[in-house]
Amino acid sequence: MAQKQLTSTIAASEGQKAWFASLRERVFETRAPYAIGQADMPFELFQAMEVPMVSNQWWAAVVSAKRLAPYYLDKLNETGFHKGLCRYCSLSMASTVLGDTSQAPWGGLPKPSLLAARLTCDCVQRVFENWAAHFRAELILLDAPAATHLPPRWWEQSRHHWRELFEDHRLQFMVRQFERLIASLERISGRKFDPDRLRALMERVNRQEEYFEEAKLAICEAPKTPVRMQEQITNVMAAQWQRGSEWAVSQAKAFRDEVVSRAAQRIAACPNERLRIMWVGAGLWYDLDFYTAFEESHGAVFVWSMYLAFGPDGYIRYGLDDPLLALASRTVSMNEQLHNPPWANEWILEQARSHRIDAAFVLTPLGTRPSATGTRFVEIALEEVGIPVFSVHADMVDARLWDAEKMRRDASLFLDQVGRR
Amino acid sequence: MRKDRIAGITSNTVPWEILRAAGYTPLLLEDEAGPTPHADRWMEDVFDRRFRVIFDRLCAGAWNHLDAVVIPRTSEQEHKLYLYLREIARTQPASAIPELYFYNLLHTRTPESYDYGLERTRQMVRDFDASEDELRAAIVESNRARGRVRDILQKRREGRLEGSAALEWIRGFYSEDRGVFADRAPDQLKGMNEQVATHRPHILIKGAPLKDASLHHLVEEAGGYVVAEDDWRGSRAAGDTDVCLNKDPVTAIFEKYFYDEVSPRVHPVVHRDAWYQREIERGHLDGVLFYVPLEDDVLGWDYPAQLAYLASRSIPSVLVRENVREHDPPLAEFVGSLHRK
Ligand code: SF4
Repeated sequence: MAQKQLTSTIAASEGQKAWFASLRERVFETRAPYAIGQADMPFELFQAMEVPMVSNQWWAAVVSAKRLAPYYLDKLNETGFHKGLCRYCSLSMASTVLGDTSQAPWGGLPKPSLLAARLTCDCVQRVFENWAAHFRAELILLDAPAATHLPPRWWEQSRHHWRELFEDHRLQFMVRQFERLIASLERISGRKFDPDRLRALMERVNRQEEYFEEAKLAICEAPKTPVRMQEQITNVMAAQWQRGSEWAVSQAKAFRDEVVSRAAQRIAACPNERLRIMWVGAGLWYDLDFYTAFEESHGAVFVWSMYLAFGPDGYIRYGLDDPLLALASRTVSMNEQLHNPPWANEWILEQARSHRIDAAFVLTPLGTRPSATGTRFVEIALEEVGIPVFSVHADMVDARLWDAEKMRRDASLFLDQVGRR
Repeated sequence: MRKDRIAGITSNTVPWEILRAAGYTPLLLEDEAGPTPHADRWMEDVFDRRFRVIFDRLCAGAWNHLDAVVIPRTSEQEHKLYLYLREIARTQPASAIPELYFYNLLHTRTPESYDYGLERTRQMVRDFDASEDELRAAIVESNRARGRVRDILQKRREGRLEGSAALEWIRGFYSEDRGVFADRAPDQLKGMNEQVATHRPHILIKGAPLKDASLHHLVEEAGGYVVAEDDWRGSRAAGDTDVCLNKDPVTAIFEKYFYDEVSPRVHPVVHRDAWYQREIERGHLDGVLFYVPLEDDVLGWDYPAQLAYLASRSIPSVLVRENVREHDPPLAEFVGSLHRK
């Protein structure tokens, strides 16, 4: 794995490990409640109620990065769940209920008090139902009505005009679902929900995302990227999972400071940078070296992924007089904005322009098929403006489907062509 | 009531009665043979063939008999189909996609989803400008057709109608004028008095949505009798109840679609599996055929628990992974091993 270049990246990794260790300790020693939830859940509510939540996708990425996914996914298949089913959202479940669960990273996930998911697909409710039944844990699912108001350039409206953008009926519905979730959290934690506390937290989330925006602008404007994509992801995601906490805000600030300072000093993550690459989709968590594999040979540097850029565009909400409603607007379309038309293709194209992208690698998830939607729209939008696309058909966590050598060979050929243009 | 406009619908949960009351003839959009170049360009292979065809034909302008297309929030594929079509309509003005309408019916059985769905149904009635009288007339017509579907299913339970024939017949519930469908059925049913199922094992098909009757034919060729299928195109087309005529028609219509229709998004599982478990408890089944192909993304999560439930009742089952169309030895062997109770 390429050496970490930013002090803030080391701090982010260590901070996350320390957070997890203290979570385990509290859960085992004082039986403190904690939750497992999907990445697009309103983490802010859990934060405000002091019920820590582990992101299902983050944990799957950790299991996959430790190369344990094949073991647990095999176990899942042996139990009767067929090989075509989604892996990204089920790997964490498998690692907690099947086979030798003590093999899981960092001692594994303890029994949660609550499992929570937004129904962005037809499968995730089943994963969570199975999981909750195994642990006899409470299950909260947030249903997801579709958006029908689909104006262009959503990111220009989402900060100030979110009320109109996300349709009142969808927001009100989400708030009612939040109220049910809050009742659960109150029961589990023994604490009373305080909207002022949530508002203060939401204000801190705004500050955190503003720091990310400044870091992003520095990357856009610097002649060569001051920070590799993987380090962006480590910094951003460590903070996003705990967004609005004092630690997360200061972590975001430290990251911003370091990126801006490196940009001002013209320090390049890869001095050899000749091609700026964007990665569209979730990460290849079991082969993060892939992202630095073409620096030496092609001067190809991955400079963009959704993780940093979505922070400001997807999360910032101004006008927090009704913090629950504002939070609802962050939750109602998050997944669709990242992956589906009209949101994803238009936004990613804009990102490609502002980051001066030379070529895009677009992931079409294989072992997570329902998540593959929207990728063709993204690819076509990029190709239509002359940005060459390399389609990566792979799973985010299932290394069983990944031929590292072949992918590097194919990607090299593609980059040879891009380099010749 | 004008009935000269056609509204394409993508599945069972589009309120037929509202469209009918607004002067549309609702028509289920079906798979058809032929290439799908538009779908090949824009859609990933995760979409079922039927949705690919719908997308393709609408983009191509090949279905210009449709005045509108109504899509419900009943499956994720339909949600994405709607988004894709909206985007094509926005970015490719020449595509001439008919007017699209999205019906945000949710299937989590929570008080919030109930209130939300009812409000969306009221909105749909307003958007389509359907009057209360027209709604009541449409409910009567639709309930009449539901009654005939139940008659067809009853004939099958009595062993007088092959499962494949029942499935083909029930298609008319979605693709024909429901009044005509209801009028025609009694005469056709009258002649069906011969037992066709004596000594043949009674089999339930459970799993992914059935594209056609090919699986039924295979079971029948092997000597089995498909007595039911957990599918909105077959045994579950009419549901358990009619649309209630004794309450506000909008509430009655909504409740029918909210409580008594099939969707992969129904939660909690106790409601999702209720029909299946009831069929098993009735004690009339000799075997169950699970159809869970590897392209399935959804039903496979329910399969182990459903299998365990069946095993606890000592009912044999077989798992079919492929979309089999020709003689399948394991399937034939399974059917051959069953005995009629
Ligand atoms: S479709 Fe996406 S959200 Fe649903 S289970 Fe698969 S990976 Fe998870």
